[in-house]
Amino acid sequence: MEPNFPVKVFEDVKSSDFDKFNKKHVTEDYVSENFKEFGWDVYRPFDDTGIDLIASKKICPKNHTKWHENTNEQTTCKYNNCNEKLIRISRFIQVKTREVKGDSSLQFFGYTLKSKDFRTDPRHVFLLFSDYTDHVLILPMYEYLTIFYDNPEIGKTHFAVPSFRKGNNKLNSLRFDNKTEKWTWNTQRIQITFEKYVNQKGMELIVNSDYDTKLDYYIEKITEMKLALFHNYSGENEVSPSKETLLQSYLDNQIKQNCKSIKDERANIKNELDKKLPPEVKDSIAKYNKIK
Amino acid sequence: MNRKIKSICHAFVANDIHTYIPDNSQENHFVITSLLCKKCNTLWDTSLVECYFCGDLNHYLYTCTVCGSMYSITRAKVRCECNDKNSKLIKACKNPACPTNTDSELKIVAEKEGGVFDRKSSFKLSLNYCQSCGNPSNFYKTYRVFIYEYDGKNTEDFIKNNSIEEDDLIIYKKKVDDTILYDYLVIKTLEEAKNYRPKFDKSDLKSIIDKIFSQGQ
Repeated sequence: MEPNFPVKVFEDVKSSDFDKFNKKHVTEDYVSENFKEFGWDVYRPFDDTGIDLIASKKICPKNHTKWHENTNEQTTCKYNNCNEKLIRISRFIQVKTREVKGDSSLQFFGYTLKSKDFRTDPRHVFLLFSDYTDHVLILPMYEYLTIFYDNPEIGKTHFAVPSFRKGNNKLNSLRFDNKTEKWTWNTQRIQITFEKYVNQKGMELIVNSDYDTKLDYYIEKITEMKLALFHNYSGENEVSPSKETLLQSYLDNQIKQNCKSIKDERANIKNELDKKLPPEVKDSIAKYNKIK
Repeated sequence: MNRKIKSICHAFVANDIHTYIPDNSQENHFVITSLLCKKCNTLWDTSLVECYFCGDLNHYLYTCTVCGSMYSITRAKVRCECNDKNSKLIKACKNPACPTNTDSELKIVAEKEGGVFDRKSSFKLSLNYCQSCGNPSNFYKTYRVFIYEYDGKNTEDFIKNNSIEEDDLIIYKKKVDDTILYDYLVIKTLEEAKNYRPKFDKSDLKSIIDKIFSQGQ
């Protein structure tokens, strides 16, 4: 029988005993201990990075390995006569821990993701931990973007709005229904189930070796979805609707199409600036420029 | 954590490589990782920002809204030398063809927000196009790293004793008088790696880092 995830690894304390100021460390530790419980190797940041933990495991490239199977002593797949050499996978996990809020039976999990959180590597995973209900929602990058790409209406409210570009677009549509104990993305017009990302079902998604064996394919797909979602323009309050349409067509032509033109454009602008700027200003801004 | 491992971890961090340590009592290795451009392997710095509309990078300049004079953002004085009463220093996009400079309506909004690259502006995104080649895709390059304080024995025993796997990285380290010498091996096949003899032809870790992170996925 398949085990449950997560399990209560800290017997002396409940996640809800912590407040928002001291819960970060304990929840990351809780997640880490849970991965370890099921045979994953876990690595924690030595320096300050955007990734809260790396979970790593040896799995069958033909997807025979279960998320809870301990493969530490194996080199080949033991499933039937598979015998395929195991590969080591790594998942780069960003943890968001929140308390579900709201008085009604439909509570919400509010969180914020910034543009810098969206990398095009399918092994990047968002792990949303609802500490009061003790649920984890595990969303690999490809799965996450697909939800919003396939549902343009919610894609727009997530990625196209000015607050996303400002980095403070708080998302309040992820809901937990106390009666049915189900998770959905819930707006006035759209309800999308998130059940396939919850607990052990989410773990099944991250043990998928396709993200490793078909890495290039997924990078390409994620890049395509990311650019489309990011460049679907919704304007600032002061920008008129007709101007929005014009700007959208500018974005479609200039940004989506040609990365070579971006490189050339940037080089031209830099050259022009180099001609105009006094040496002391150039020296001063050089230290910000991290091109290596 | 073993101080010698810690020292190497700091050396990676100093070279902008993110370092992760095992969340258990294992002290024989750690993990390094870096986000790289999929096409040219240039480090992908997510803290860099680009203009939402034209993709130009932040040049870290203040521009006067009246006379167009430019100043470094480290400048303490926050007024332009033109002293015009309408002058405001903003972090504008420096692409003359960008809609935030050509479109009057958008220009007003961008100025109001302190310019495209102001911290609170809604006209910028984290790097979407590689700063070096313009490619829009990135990926994580990662290694498990094992440090071999060289004792003259062959690599075979070290591999066996440390459960080293393919794609792992061994860094060989040897002290000669006051100098530390290094070599490295990325394990392609365990069979091939067994007989590797380090040459110790590197006197810093930077050259190793540059090599291993420039080799594609």
